[in-house]
Amino acid sequence: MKKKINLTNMTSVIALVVLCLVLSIAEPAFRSFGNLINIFQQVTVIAVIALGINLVIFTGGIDISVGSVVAFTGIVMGKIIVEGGMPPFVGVLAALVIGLLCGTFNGVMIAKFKLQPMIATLAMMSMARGAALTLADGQTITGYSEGFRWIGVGVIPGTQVPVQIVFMIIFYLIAFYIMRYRKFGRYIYSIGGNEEATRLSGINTVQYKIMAYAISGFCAAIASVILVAKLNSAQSTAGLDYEMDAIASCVIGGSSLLGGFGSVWGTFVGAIIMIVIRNGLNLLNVSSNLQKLVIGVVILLAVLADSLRHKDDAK
Amino acid sequence: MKKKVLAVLLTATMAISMAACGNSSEGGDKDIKIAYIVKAKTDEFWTAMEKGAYAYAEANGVELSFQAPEKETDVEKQVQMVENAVIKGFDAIILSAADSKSLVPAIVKANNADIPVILVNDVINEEALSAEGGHVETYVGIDQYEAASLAGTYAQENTEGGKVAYLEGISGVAAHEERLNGFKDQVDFEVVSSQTAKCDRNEAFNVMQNVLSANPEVNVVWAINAEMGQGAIQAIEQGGFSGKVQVFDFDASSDDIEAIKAGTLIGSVAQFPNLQAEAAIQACLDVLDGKELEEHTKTKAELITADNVEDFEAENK
Repeated sequence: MKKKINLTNMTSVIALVVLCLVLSIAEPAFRSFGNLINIFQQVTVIAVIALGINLVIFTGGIDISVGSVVAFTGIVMGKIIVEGGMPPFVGVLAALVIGLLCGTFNGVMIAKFKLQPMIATLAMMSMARGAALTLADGQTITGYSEGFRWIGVGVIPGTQVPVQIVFMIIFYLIAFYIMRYRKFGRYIYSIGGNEEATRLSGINTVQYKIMAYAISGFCAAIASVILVAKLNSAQSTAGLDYEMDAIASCVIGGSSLLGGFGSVWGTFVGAIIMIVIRNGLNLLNVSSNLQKLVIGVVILLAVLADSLRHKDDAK
Repeated sequence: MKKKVLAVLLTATMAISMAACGNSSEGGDKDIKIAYIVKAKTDEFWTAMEKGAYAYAEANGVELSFQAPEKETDVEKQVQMVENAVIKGFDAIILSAADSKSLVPAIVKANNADIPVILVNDVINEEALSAEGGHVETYVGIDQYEAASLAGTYAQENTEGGKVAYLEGISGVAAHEERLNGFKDQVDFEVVSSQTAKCDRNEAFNVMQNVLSANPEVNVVWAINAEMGQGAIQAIEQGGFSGKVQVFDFDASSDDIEAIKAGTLIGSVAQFPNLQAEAAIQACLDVLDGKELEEHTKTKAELITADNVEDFEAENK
């Protein structure tokens, strides 16, 4: 098992290294330090969302509601902080709680009421977006305090390293530890590998699946806090299609949509590959229409690699 | 097995780099490099602007990079494009902001790198910008409010007892709100509906169908862009309301011109995106020459109706 995970990580890492080499040669601006910081800054939101979705994918499920949850939690937070005049931490706390609740709701629908993950989260996608649009009523909510904006634009004193990157890395370290060394992680993988067998061995699969979706909603809320702080504004249209970018990150990073397979670091690398492609092609003046096409090809190849690997396993 | 997986991923990187190289063949010897970042390339307005921009850049020896995210709502991606342009070290950035507030931090980044920013077509919320200590050189574009009032005035003069349905744009976009208000303030009509159709033709079709079934007496429609105007026209024709509803929209796209000739569209406000592009690039050149610019570099807008459609078409071929 261990060996296979290493292989997955290696292939995406090698792909990333080659990609960076090629882009460095093709575009001098790509290899500047400022651009490196930009890439990490640009990846944070997607990487944090992908971290949550990853857990759901490990269990063999899917969560397409996260983009809407980003918008919904952002608007609630904006309303509380800007219009309510409350201290920022109250708004952040409310956003995180709502994210957690949206995710838990998804989890209950899926694990307890046996709805298809795609359908249950599709419903949440629409509900959360509708709630965001209704609450915002066309307004972009802007004007946050310096203290709050530090989350999105602050740097570590004496360096140019944005604090949001540090947050992201801490989240990944925590996730890595839990997935690798705690029983929670083992159960999540095990549910994705064979849910029935996991249940029969006495594990409360319903509870663990709900937790996976809850964490996915929670991560979307964290991403929303970072996004709002970064853009100094909350919008009801924020996060459109982010679920697709996040799912693509997981897949490029080697997670299998069949569940039971993938790694936290693989997803991190997958998210960086997505952003590096976008950043590099943008610097090279490739239109976003063509970028979309290229990313589609990369996803396809990553899934192809995944299916080749599974075919190999079956032999 | 390892080899197979590796091979697939390497092919992927090759594909990307080839796509990249295929497009990086622009001439790198020109003195002035301008990044021109708009909201999308999905409608004719932007493609007309792109064409005008490249023609004017070519004539003036400017190297132009015309960029846009996939959808007008991709605000974060547009922010990233501005950040990338700052890193790449363009001499000036022309921006049509996808959101009047969210682009502020990115503009400040360009300011800090001493790269002048010129706004085109869409304004930035000035309060938010000055609160962050940012500034832009000028805003190039029509006066949205004034332009929309051309249509409003025409509608008021030619309609009695108007019952109007508004097709609104994307919420939070200042230009869309000004277009709505510019029309509204000129007319003395009863408002039967005011809803967004997100600037999309298909959504406008659906919204208009609903409006017609709930309020069959509606006789004026103001759609703040051409796509929605076209969607409304389709719904009106299919619902059998042809000739009973006067539709006005914005942009004077080629569909609009055909519709005006056919009589299904009464009027459309033309905002000459090619002239905006020229004025924006000229503004960059002026700023780089050390000239001070007016806060608003106004460009032409005109209401196109059956009276002047032939002339308009002849001029803009």
